[in-house]
Amino acid sequence: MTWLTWRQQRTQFLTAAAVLLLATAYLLVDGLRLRHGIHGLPTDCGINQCFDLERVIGSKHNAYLAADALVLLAPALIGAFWGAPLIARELETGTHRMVWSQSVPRGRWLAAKLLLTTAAAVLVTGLLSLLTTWYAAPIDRFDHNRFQPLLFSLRGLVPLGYAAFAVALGACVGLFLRRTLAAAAVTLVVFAAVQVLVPLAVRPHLQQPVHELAALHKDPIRHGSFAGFETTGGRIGPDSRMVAVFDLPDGWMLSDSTLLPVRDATGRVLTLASQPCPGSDQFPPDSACLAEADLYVALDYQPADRYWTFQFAETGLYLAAAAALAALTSWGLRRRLG
Amino acid sequence: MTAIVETRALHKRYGRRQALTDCTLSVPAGRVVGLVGPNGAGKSTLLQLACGLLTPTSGSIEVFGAPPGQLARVGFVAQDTPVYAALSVADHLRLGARLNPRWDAALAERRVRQAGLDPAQKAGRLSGGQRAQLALALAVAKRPELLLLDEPVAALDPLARRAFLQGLMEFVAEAEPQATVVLSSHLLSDLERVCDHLVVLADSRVRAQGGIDDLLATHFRLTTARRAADTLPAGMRVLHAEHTERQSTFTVRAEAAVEDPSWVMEPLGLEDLVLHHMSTPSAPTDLSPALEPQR
Amino acid sequence: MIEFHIEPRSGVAPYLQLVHQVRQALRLGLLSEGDRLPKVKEVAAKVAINPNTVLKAYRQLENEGLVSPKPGVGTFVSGTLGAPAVSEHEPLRRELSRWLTTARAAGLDEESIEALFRQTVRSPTEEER
Repeated sequence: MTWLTWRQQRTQFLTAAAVLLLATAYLLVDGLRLRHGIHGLPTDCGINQCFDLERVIGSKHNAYLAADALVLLAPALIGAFWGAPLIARELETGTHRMVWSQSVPRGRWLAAKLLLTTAAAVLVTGLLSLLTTWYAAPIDRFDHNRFQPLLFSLRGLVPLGYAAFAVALGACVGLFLRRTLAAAAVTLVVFAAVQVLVPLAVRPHLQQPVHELAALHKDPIRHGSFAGFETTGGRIGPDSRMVAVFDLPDGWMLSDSTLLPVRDATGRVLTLASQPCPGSDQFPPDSACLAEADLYVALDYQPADRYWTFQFAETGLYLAAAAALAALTSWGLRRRLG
Repeated sequence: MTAIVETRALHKRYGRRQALTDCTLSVPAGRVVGLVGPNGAGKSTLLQLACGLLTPTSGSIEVFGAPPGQLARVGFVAQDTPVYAALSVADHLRLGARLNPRWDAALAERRVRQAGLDPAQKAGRLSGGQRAQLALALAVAKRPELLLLDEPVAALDPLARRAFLQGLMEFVAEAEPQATVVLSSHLLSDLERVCDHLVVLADSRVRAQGGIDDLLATHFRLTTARRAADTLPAGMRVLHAEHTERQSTFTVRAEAAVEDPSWVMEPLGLEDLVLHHMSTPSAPTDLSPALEPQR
Repeated sequence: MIEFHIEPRSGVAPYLQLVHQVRQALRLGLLSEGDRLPKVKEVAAKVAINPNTVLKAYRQLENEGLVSPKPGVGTFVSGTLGAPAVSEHEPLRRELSRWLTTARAAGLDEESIEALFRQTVRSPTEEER
């Protein structure tokens, strides 16, 4: 079965290997150049301060995006082009009746095909992720945004889980649709939907988020600062809420908006009328006073040190989903064709 | 005589469509069985049930005395003889070698050579006849004790058909261990050549089954002046009667032709015989109560 | 060596066709005592016919004493049809001709005579039963 799976998927595997090889060659060379370019430049100068560093990183922007796109698309393409035809093509061309009448039981046939293809998918995506994670490391370190939903999906372990899931999804959809093209399309759509839904609805709850009343202007690392007042109907009145931005390096802020209402120590939301530092003409507030005042924002967030916990948890989740799909496929193979 | 395939009250339904109804039959060992019937009669379903590609809705089917699934002992050539278009002929033989413990590589190669196939040729480029030969080589080289073929020659031209049947018969003649073959077709002339046992299916039911020689030796067309069926001698079972004003034509089953100056009694050809059973909705008749063992 | 063929749609069982062909070959002198009949496998593959049918035909010929199998070697012609010499045809023809006259006198025309003849030839005689 190993040989047959290899022989049937040879073209796809070799194509993937070629893409991987090209990507590796380019990113390795360019990654070394990037490291050479930023060697010795200060990296802790704060936002919008490290001009030299930002210039170097900016020059790598396109390669960085391309590498990210590769990791983003790889599992989806693998699902559509490796997973979907796995069973659908056999059913479509009738060859399942030929191959199932050899001396290998259907269950073993499926297991061999699924396992080998999944292994290849995980290997390819894993290498791609490893490569991109390495390439982008200096940039990610500078941007401090690796816990952000999109970037989280492109680094570390999770792409492996996505790849395994995509293959199992494609195979399962293929079994029930029995058409390669339709199966590939449906696999793409379902996979994309899952990839959007999980960061929105599932990932935030993998662990209870931290809820905290964080002080503005007082924390040197988790930097927060007053941003202004909300307008109502384009105008600022006494009831306009006071808002601030809060920066959570490498952490994941779960609030909907980037502008957070400013509160006092009791958690009460402050407005233009109730804020503690009225300026001379009520507006703007006195900045020296603000820096000293006891101002807070309410935060819902996943702290930076949970990054790897989340990576493992989400990878596990996708692998479990892949296993469930494989079980469903195996059941369907026995039932539906029986 | 041991039955290789034995079904009892076998039913198969696809959704609301009844594909096989109350099918009870047995396939004797060492026979070449022709499965004949119009399209949609259930031939394909019966074969796929026998090789375990389908499972019955109700009733039982046993192959070698057990539920189907002894893959190594059963060869199957599916309808339209599917092969992997992207794989070469040699690849298919390698596939067979890797997936079958009893694979006979020499036999497979000899068959491919005899059929004039180029091992480097992609299977997708083969003609229908060549593809059928490749599928046959694959099925035969696993050295099955039961070989099932689903309309293998339906799509072939007469030349390719003959070549295929020659290959099949060669396999039957030299199969070791002895092989039983079930072959579905609606080409009666082919079946008459290669089969020694017949199962007639129509409307998802078994209409008749038995040894071909017995069938031919015991079915007659009797033409006579108009008379009632019950006035015929006791040894004749009237299967069908047709009357015109003056003439009566009976299809009868009898041990032997009975000479009488008042009628003409001719043997019924296989085609007429099968057509008769196909078109007469009657209780399934087992036409082979006393088959003498062969071989 | 003899070559077999099968005529489908003849209404005659294939094994009987083979038997007839061997008999015919004996009658025509194409086969004579000691000749080997083709192997079952060869006939099956060449004619595309069920090997059981060939076996059945050979066994029938064996029962008729026309051939005998030598295990491991093949099946050999071991008898003759004992066909009468051409000289013996003449008295038979005269007898038949007398019978024809009787039949015509009874009012049978050519076709009914032929039908009757064919029917009688095809049906087994008392001895054969």
